[in-house]
Amino acid sequence: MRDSFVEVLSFQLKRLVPVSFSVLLILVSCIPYHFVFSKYIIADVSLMCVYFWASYRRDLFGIGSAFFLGLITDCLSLSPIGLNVMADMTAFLLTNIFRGYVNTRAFTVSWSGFALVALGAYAFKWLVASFYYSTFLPLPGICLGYVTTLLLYPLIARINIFVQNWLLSGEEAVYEQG
Amino acid sequence: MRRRRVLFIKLSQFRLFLRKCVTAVLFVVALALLILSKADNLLLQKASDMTAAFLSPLIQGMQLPAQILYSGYEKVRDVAFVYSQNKELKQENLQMLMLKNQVRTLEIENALLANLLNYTPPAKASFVTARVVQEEGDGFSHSLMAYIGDTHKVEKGQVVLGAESVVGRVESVSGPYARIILLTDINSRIPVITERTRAQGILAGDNTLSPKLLFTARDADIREGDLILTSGVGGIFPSSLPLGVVRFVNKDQIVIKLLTDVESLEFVKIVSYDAYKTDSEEMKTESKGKL
Repeated sequence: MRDSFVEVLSFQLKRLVPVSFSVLLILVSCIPYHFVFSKYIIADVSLMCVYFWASYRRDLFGIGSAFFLGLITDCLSLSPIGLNVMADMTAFLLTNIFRGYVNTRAFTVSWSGFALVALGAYAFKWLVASFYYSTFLPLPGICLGYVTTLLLYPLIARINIFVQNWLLSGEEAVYEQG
Repeated sequence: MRRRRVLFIKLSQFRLFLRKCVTAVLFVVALALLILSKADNLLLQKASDMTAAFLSPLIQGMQLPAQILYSGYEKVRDVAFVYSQNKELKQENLQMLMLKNQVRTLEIENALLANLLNYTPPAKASFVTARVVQEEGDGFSHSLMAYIGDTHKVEKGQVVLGAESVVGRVESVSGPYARIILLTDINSRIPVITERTRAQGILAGDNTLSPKLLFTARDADIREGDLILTSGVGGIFPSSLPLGVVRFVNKDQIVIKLLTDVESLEFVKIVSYDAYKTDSEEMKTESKGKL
């Protein structure tokens, strides 16, 4: 039986939820907050979204989505265009390695997986940026970024879980091998 | 059931191969973007600015509820302190009146002396005050996006001031938004001098909150607490604008503490000095008129 137009449209719109919601979170992270410690909160929201959606809804989030989120982050920041694209795609590929193990276990396991993926992505980004600028970037700021990203991951994951349960609960995740 | 084949390859294997190809192609595209970015490709820069200008109204819109709440809170707070503030303002006003008279006298005296020395006065500056709508600062870059409205006065390279000092320069303008590169960004390099000894150097950002002073003379007398000013060398920044103070000096580096906290800016002032109108004639006639 052929699906009705509404069903097809609804299906296609649901496919866009992870990416569009991630873009929304990236935009929220760019809002200037003028409270005391806001300058020390320098989390990489796109990385968190890539890890979450790639590990839990791989069927709705491909490497193209990671590319797109990286590109948006690059356009909003002054960092070289392509830097966050590469970091997010690296995070996506690393997540693929852990995905099978992580997504059926407790949240703390998933968090630990994120710690490893984020470490890999940050290290890669640091290397590429250092190569780009022909000088090693100071590590304290990058370490602070890594730590705040790691600490804020549960919050972003909670929001994404809420979106998943609210908008995509009827859909069944399809985990493909390879 | 028969498996579908494309030529002599199984369809699933072919799909896997395609997926791997896509990954490789996307990495190559990302690398190409990085190389083009390094080469300062204008088209890429323009596309990036346009994307940022397209997304910035969304960010600005998201801030609205918080801004309304905050302005309401500020109004209530102002009402609570209105009497005490009024008393203070009256006293300040009296002092200002006295100072105004003094300044007037000094201005005339200065104009007279300048006229005698045939002195060319510095350029007049015009400025635009802009609200910061987006900030971004991590270990990889430090920048701001400011809303400038439909003014056409803002251009690339103009000086950006915070509350007390220079905070950066305009990197690009796209529609009603200006992208500002902060002094702390790794791409920021500004020729400076120390106020006390006039020792020259380059203030270089390194994506930390404390930029470094580079290329100073080996025997330069630079001490902790020295004020750092723009030198005006290069012609982009005018001279004698304050930037920061020397935080500490050691064998390897001179670390600067900026006068304005660049990470918590709400408004910035974009100053245009390139409308170089040396109106010495105007001043001369003015001073003659006053005489």
